[in-house]
Amino acid sequence: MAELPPPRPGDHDLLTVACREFVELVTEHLEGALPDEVERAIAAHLELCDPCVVYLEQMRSTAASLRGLPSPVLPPAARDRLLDVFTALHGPGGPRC
Amino acid sequence: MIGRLDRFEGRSSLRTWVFRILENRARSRGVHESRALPWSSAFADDPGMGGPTVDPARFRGPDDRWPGGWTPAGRPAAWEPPPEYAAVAAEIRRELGTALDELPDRQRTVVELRDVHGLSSEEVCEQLGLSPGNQRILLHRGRARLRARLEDVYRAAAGEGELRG
Repeated sequence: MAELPPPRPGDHDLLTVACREFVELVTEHLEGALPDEVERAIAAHLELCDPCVVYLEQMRSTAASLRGLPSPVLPPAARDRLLDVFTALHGPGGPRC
Repeated sequence: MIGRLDRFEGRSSLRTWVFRILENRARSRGVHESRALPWSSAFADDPGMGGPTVDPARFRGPDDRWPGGWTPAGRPAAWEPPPEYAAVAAEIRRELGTALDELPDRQRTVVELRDVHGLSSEEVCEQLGLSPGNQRILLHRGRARLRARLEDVYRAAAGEGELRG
């Protein structure tokens, strides 16, 4: 990775990212959708900012924990209707195998 | 779909099979109705759309020495044990399931397709007729809410002693 010059006071040419901005860029960062210049600013920020590293990790692990989550249970009314349709098609007592 | 169950040959999981039928049906309907429901223009189900996903009170003000930085009370605390840890995974997934149900429809659908079912962003954009930018916005807002929910769970657990699985 290219070395970033250390930020100097009054150096307005260097793009910087505040924590408040980082939390709104984090998904685009994870998606690889940010311009290089912004990615460099984020890398520089994360180097110095532990809470933002924690935030990034939490967004990543939230997404990872969702993988394969069981689908929500059908609402009772929808379940009853589905069973009615099923019964109408196959007769009471379930399908004949 | 139930009528078609006879044709299920067991080569894929039932879930994948049902999902594929829904996908094909959505696709053909999209063609017939020329996407009667424009996804990209319908952020109306989230009143806070466009607003910050993290409470602004957790950051320092513009006159601070570090404007926009976390305040000492606002900064996120590391989650211990992490959500992947076996002892808490079941509890975390239960909370995530509830929180997912409560998301605005569009956010929930994008998060489900991307994170629960593992579709790529290209697939989600194509299926839902979303621009890549809008897909990312919905994913971001949905994930940020779910993260906030887990943060609440960990905070409550820290107050009570321990997170139980």
